[in-house]
Amino acid sequence: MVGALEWRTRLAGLPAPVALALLGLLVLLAAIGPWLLPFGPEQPDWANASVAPGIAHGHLLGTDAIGRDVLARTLAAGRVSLLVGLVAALGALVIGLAYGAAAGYLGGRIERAMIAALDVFAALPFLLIVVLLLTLFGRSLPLLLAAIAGAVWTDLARVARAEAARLRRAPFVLAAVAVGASPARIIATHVIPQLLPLGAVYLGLLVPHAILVESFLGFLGLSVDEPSTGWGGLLAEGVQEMLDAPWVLVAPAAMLVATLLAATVASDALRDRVDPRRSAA
Amino acid sequence: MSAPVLEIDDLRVRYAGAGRPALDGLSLAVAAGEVLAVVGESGSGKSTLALAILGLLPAGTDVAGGVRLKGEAVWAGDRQALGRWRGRRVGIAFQDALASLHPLRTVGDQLDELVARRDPDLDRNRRRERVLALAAEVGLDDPGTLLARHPHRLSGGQRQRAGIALALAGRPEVLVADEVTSALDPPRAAAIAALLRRLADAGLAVIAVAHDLDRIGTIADRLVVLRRGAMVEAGRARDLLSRPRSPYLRNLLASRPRLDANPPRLPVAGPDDAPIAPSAPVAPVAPVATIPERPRAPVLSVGGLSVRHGRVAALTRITFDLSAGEVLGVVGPSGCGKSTLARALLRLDRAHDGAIAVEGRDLLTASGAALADLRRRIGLVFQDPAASLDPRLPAWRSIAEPLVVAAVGDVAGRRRRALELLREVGLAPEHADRRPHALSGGQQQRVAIARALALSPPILVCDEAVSALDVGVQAGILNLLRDQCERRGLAVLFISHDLAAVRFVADRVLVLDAGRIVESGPVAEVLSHPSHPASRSLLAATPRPIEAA
Repeated sequence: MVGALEWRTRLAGLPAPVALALLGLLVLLAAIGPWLLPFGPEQPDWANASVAPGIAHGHLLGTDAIGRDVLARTLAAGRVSLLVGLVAALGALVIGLAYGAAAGYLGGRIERAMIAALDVFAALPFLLIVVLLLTLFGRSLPLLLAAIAGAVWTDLARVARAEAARLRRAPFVLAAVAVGASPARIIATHVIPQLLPLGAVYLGLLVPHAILVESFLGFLGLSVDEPSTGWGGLLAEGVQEMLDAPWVLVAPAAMLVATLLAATVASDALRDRVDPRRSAA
Repeated sequence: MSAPVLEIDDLRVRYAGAGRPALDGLSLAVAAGEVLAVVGESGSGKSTLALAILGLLPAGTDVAGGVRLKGEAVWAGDRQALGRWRGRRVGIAFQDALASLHPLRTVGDQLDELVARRDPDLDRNRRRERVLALAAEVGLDDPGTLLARHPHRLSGGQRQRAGIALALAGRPEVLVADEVTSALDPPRAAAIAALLRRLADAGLAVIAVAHDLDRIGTIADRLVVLRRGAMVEAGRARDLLSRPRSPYLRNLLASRPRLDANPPRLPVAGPDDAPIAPSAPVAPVAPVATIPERPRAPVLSVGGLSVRHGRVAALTRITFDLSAGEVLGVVGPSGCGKSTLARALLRLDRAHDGAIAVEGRDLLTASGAALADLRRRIGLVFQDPAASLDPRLPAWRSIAEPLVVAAVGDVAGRRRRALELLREVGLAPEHADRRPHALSGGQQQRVAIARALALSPPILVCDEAVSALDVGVQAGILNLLRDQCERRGLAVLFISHDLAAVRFVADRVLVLDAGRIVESGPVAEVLSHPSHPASRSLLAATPRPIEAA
């Protein structure tokens, strides 16, 4: 069977180890890059506004309309996007695992109700509601993180539920029930720990998803406040001057695409390694 | 013996990353019309042999040596040759027939596909004839109905017949039967064994891989005994089983419980999985003075218990008492309600009617803390030792779990108690920190028993607790159960379809059929003079050891 990994790998021409190395490089660049550059992300260089990428003026990827270095801004924005993506993905991981484990383990009517709630949640035009909320209540980091986590947790919850339902019938779980262990104890000590490998693999898929959602919100101007904007915010700025200075748009876009692609390919490969059911020829 | 159909020559198999080879230079041959039984304990390489013959070993496995069919070499590396070989020359049937059949297609469709693959020129009607002939050959009665069904709607025995029909659909010359009787209850296992014999008599060469010596002994012409990938002994089945030459086979045969003898302890075959002196349990143990004398009040009293699964009555008006120090065997064919009974006793299944009293207190009306308290008076041991332990927890943590739940002692105290229990069940302190995957099946089951005993419950419920274990390991566990009864006055409900094991371990026995108790009494009496047809058919289907002439 040609798995999703193979298909994506062929599409991107990107073998998994290369994807992993690329991802590492991108994260490293975002983490330490801003310290190595002579320009701050908010520092205007009036003499060189809207210059094209080049070496002579020191702005490797050019500058925007008010002379800010595009490379510095892209890397600084990478910090915001990656960090917000990671934290939101961790939140989604916790919610998804706990919800799925509870639904799957408890079973019966509770499970059906929880799945119905999940279906309703997933069917809502969630991002629209988030946009509405962020507009109504103003932008705040906790609300932003909750919004991103809320957009990406449902798939994991479904997978976790199926796995937990299987564990519900496992003799070692019955043995715990038989000595009077409470459902909460069993979920915490037997079910969730068994789901952790699954969670670790899913985290790899949640992070790029969360980054994408963050960028989407950022593009709408609803992500983290100025001046520390993420890639989405840069894209929005880039679109403004797309015709005069395309590099302002291209640099963050390329960075975003490279990160999403590398992270997805790498985590797909990781999933195939961890889950033997998917690795069979 | 006529000319061999299939010959295996110095076969060596080593799995990727494995230290020792799974098969280490094995040679054997099987002729048409013959049942060759390959027997051995888990890890002996017998299933590896079955898979190797069909070229079904995982990629990356080192395979050397030859497999020849009628003198023609079969090279396992050639994929095209393998495709022509599998199914048409050699067919294979597996232990778990349900897992080996396609769940979403009817049995008839699956057979039809294979028949069409073998003979692409046949038209629909001719194929149908062939499929019906196959069904008749494997004894699928009422093929019109059964062939139109999906595998999950067949009974265990029917599924196994369908699995064998599938293996025969390509009209192979050799049938490899990998533990095809192991998952079945005695009547069904006996019927499938008879089917293998009949197929051989009709001219097929049959290689039957099995661990049940008595069962396979009833149909095998020749026997090959494997141990750790090497042949220990081979010869005519009857001779080998009545006069084993190797100490290994002799020990294996001696450690089986038997219907016709009742030793106080079973000799434990070979190096037992328990590291402490293998002969230790044989020493008579002094009864503890605190055990009350008979007659005693029952510790478990079940009256008129009925359980329904949906509209189906799983158990109907079950009534029995269990006293301290007593082992009550519960036997019956698959689907008779044995496991439902175990679950109902812990209220894991809801009882529909009746009463269960644990030490005089009503279990069915208890709730909250009282229910938890009553459940802790009953220990539970399951069939599959690997599945009954949390794979992430070291042995002592599993054993201590009931103590944690019941809030007994602190961490140090619980660990002490776990170590004590480990010794009690015949394991060493070094096993305390091992996870289940680093323990053998027998050791896992001992840990599961230690966990069940952690809160010193007066009652232990064993649901097929030895059925998945090898003979030698099984003997150790049965001895352990007897010890616990005699030393601690433990009351045991021993649920099993293995009458010989029940004969050894139990004092009294209940025979269950279709959810009702059809017969009960002292084990020696019921198993030697069964009065109900259900008990008689169970007994008749239990193979007798072959005696020296």
